[in-house]
Amino acid sequence: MSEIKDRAQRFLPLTEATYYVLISLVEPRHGYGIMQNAAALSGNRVKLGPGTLYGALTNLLKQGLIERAGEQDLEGERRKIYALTSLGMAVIVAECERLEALVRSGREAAEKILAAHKES
Amino acid sequence: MNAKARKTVFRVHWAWNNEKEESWLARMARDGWHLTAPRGFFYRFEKGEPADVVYRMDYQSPGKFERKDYLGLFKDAGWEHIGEFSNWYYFRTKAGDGPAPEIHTDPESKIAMYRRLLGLLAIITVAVWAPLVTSIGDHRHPHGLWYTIRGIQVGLRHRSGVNHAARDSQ
Repeated sequence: MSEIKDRAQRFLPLTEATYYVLISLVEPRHGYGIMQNAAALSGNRVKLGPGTLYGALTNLLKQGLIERAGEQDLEGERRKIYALTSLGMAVIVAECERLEALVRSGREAAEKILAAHKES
Repeated sequence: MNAKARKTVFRVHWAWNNEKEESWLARMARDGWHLTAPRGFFYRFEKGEPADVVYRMDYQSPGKFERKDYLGLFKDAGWEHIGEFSNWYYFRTKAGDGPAPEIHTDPESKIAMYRRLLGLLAIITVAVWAPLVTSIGDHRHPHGLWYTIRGIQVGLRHRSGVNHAARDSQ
């Protein structure tokens, strides 16, 4: 388990697009499903264009963070389904820990700034 | 109804100007001329209703490229694939009220696209200059220059976009 944790560290930090692709695949989905899920999770802020998504999927497959998991019909057309590998899962956990540490460090500063702002 | 009017337009576009090419195609569509086939510097159009559309071009290296999956993603996302020329893929979608729809939504993937293009340009550059350099001082084979000119012609058709990548990464 610690070996896979070490390997996961090498993929950090993730780009925002890669991050949203990975967390969308907590359930296996096709490409269009990933786009919709990323938009829904982020309140429509993260829009994955098809060019960006194709690049992200290609890289993640090559790096072994995701894998193909069969096909599904989408409006009469066959679409590939993608799923996380165990390495991909480890990367999500590691990235969340990293981001939480970042937020913890910044929060104190942010609170001081906000407090000073209120006084003035 | 008569057959639709068609025309072919010759227009030179530089490698670093695919965004200029995209806006030109959108202007043509506002005049009712819709792209049906990009063929290098020759663009075929068909006359129809004026339309407010967005064109986007994407460069893909040949080789390990999953064409069916790739085109499927664009179709599902609402982009019409019009055609392709020397690894440049042309897409079109309706312009909405908000900001123009994009196929590359982060600088990383745009940079990756221009890197793919740069890889090809590097190969072309070597192919262009090698015959010239090796023919220097060789009076029996003074043809290197002609290979170079021919190579530049080929190179022109492959647009480079280093400028965009540099701008987007700022």
